[in-house]
Amino acid sequence: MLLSVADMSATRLSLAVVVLLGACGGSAPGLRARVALTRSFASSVRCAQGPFELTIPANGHRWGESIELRVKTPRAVKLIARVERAGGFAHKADKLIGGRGRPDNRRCVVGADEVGSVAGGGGRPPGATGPRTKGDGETGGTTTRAPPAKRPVLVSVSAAAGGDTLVRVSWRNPSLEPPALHAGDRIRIRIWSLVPNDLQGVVFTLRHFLYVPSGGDDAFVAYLRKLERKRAREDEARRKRAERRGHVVRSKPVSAETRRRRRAEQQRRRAQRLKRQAERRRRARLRRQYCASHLDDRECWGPGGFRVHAAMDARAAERARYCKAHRNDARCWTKREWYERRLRWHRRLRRAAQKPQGPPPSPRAETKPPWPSEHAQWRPGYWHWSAGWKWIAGRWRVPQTDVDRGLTTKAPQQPPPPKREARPQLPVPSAVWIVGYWQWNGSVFVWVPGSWQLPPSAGVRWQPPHWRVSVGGVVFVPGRWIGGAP
Amino acid sequence: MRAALGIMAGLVLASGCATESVTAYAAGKTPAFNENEWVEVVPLPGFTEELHVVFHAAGQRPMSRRTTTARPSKPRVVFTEPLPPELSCKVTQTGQSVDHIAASRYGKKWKWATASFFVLEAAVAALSLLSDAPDGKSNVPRRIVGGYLALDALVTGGLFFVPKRDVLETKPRTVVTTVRRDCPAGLVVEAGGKRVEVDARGKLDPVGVQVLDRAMAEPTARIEVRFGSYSAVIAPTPDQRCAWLRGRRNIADAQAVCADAIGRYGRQPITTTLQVAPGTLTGQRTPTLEHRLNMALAQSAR
Repeated sequence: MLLSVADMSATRLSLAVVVLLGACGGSAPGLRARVALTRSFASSVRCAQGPFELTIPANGHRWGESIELRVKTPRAVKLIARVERAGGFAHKADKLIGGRGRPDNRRCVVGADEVGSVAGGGGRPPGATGPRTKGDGETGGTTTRAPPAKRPVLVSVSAAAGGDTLVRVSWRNPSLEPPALHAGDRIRIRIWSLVPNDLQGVVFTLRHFLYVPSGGDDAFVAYLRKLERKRAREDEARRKRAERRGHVVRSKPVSAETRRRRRAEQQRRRAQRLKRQAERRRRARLRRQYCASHLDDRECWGPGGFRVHAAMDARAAERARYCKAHRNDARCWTKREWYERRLRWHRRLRRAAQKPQGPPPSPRAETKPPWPSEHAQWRPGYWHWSAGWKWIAGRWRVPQTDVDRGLTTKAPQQPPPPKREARPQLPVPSAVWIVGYWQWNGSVFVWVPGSWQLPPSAGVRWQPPHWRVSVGGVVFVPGRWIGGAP
Repeated sequence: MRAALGIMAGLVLASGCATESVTAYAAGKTPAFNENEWVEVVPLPGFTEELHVVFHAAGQRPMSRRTTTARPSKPRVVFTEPLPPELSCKVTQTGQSVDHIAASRYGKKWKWATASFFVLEAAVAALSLLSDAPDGKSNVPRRIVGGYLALDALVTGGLFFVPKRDVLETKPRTVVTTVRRDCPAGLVVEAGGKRVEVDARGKLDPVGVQVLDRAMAEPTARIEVRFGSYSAVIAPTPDQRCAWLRGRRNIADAQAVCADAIGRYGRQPITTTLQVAPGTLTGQRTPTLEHRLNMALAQSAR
């Protein structure tokens, strides 16, 4: 009996909770995101700083949509993503993904581990056969003007979605208004970085979501209408309250008689003002006449009378004379002069602190100089920010083992004497000029022009490459950074 | 009533007009203030211009002066690397100026002040002397206070009649004007045979940071600050180098250097001053809007 009473109480209690929740709107319908599209991409090149571009057409879904870009990476990469839609800018994100501290991009930028590698190169790998590649025997990377290369792209790959979110933008529309995005609007995502990232094995996953009501369209529309009615009632009540408090002032029509009276009043005030001005002028004239004949009057001339007044005037003239002759003396600057100078110096500070507003330009077209050794690796050129985008040319990295084992280029004779070159403008204050040199491309010597390079660390200097006499010809000894071990 | 009387008496006692004036006079200061003051500051010919450079290792730069009332939140990011070192620059001009001051004393304002005090003190004195203390209390302290105030009021009344006087003063003084706080274009730091450019904010590029770090780690390194043909050599003390290396978290070198340092902890700013020709860093006067307008009008007239 006791048990059945307890059961009854529990049932009643739960029923009461359900009724209360229903009355309080505890089960208000909402929107949930449903995945409409998932696509994965990977960079077409290993070292890149963008700008990559992904475009996705908007669905124009009634309840809104959202996009999400996730990055799955085996190493730390630092990326900036900017989402734009037909109407303009939508969102920008700047994140380090896959690690802490700094991006792991040693493979792609000038680094301390470059001591011992070379800039430029020559010849084809010893023992290489077949036709020469396009780059063989042509110029190496320089900082001179070069046409932009083909922009690096993201190619579609089939990989599992995952990784960390780089950017997510949603255009939810929980209202009866038309959605912000229309069908066919282009959503553009631009991805770039200030320094090149090592993007090998990095997968970008783009997901497109559509928002759908959790309880069906009809129920959600009914819920929104109810909300709208409630809001309208509240607005009306607020307006009435404001009227009662006198916050709403209704303009009354002005009669012709009132206008005439106002005009007459204005004229009367103007006449009074003119009269007062004339009286002031008259008094000032009288005062001047009085003061001219009473040189000791302190009310006229201030402390000490006319004598002191004249002395102070002379001091003021002395100051004016000095300041005219010494325009750089800060003691003489007027407020305006201070303002103008400060403005100029603040502009300098602002320029120095300026950060890039957008992605770097497309990478320049670089023609790889011939292979300098068997296992040489090419580090492509990239854009470096230093109060503007500056191009740092690409270069070959020759492993020290290749040099030690004699796996560098061999030529039958000594190269011609070096050419004299005009240096382009210094791109970055700390850049070092790497002189050009002759290189053997398998049939003739070709000139590899010099370039500005960033030294890998302080205290190092560049030892230019040279050709060492060997059995049956000469062997290429690559240039290297020496001294100042990192 | 009694409380109000007490407060008034206290106020008057604390700044009894005549007492204060007499005390100031006895101390060699003027009891009166300047009225109708006219000051002309005339710069004396000749001034110097200096560029002050301070080297800050990581975290040694003072925080922004902007204050906030918000409660500081817990730092979410933990920096594993020290902030890069930077320089702060300040350009000052130093010269002598003479302040010529013409003013009057014991004028209208003085009369108003002494008259007001006279009335106030006299009123309080009269109340103190003429009213009796509550039952069972002595009247002596009230009489003393009243007497003092009456005397002070009397002398204050006398001060009212001090004749108006003109004051003419000439005060030479040294004027130091801070002109700008950005690092001028062309400022370089030379260390270990390497030249490092400094940008307007006093920042160095990564290679420059390494150069400076190396120089600080070597006891014989020579650090030079150059601006055009002007230069100053810096010889950091072991204390300064120790603080620098600690700030840069260069523990290996810091252990060797800090063994010679006396004060091993705390900030040790490294400063230097370059005296340059006047006007070198303060720039030419930029044409004002009025000047530009006049130039444009003159050109169109031609």
